[in-house]
Amino acid sequence: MDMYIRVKRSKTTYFIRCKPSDKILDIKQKLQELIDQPAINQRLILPDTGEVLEDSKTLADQRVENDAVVALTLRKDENEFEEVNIVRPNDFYQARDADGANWWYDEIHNCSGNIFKRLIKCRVNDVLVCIILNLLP
Amino acid sequence: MKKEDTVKLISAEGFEFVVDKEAAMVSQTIHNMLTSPGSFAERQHGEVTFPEISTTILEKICQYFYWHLQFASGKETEFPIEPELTLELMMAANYLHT
Repeated sequence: MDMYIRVKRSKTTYFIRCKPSDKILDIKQKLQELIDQPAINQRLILPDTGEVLEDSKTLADQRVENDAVVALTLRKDENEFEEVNIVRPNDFYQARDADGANWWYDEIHNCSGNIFKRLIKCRVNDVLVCIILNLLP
Repeated sequence: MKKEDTVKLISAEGFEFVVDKEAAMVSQTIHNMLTSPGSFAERQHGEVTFPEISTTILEKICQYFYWHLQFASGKETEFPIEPELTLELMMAANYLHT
């Protein structure tokens, strides 16, 4: 696979495998399979700019890159689509503030030995060193 | 891509991530859920709920699944991880055998 994009609507994210040369219509046809809504009822939008993506253009034409987030809105009636609605999670990481230091301290003391050692690596060195050790295929 | 070739992963907060089964099976735990003989509900409905994995972490894990497939096919890039996610991500990765 060349790349993937994340298509979001409300609390759902669809990871869609694709190529930079795919047209927007190709993406909608893949989504059609997943959401049971024909391409004509779908509108894809760049959430940051509000730009509506055009069916006949490619992902590359519209500068949609690997791992990009695209908003999906569905047709309400003949003339109108839903507004963009991507629900943001409000789990801890989004709401984090100055308590971060205390959070780290508390978590260290709750860790099992193995994770504790990995965590120490994380804090002493570049985080990627630790992550690479754990997550590389 | 067909619906039956995907699986829906659901976070503690009820957010849903629809991913290719091929990607999700980068996790040995999910692989076992989806392929074991017998009647795992997960296999029948194509949905797996993770009551202990938060939304932000589960999304990062899904991104990792796709990065892993890209890496395996020769696209060697670094996988970006925000430092504040590190601890929870390691615990989730341990649970998912990823």
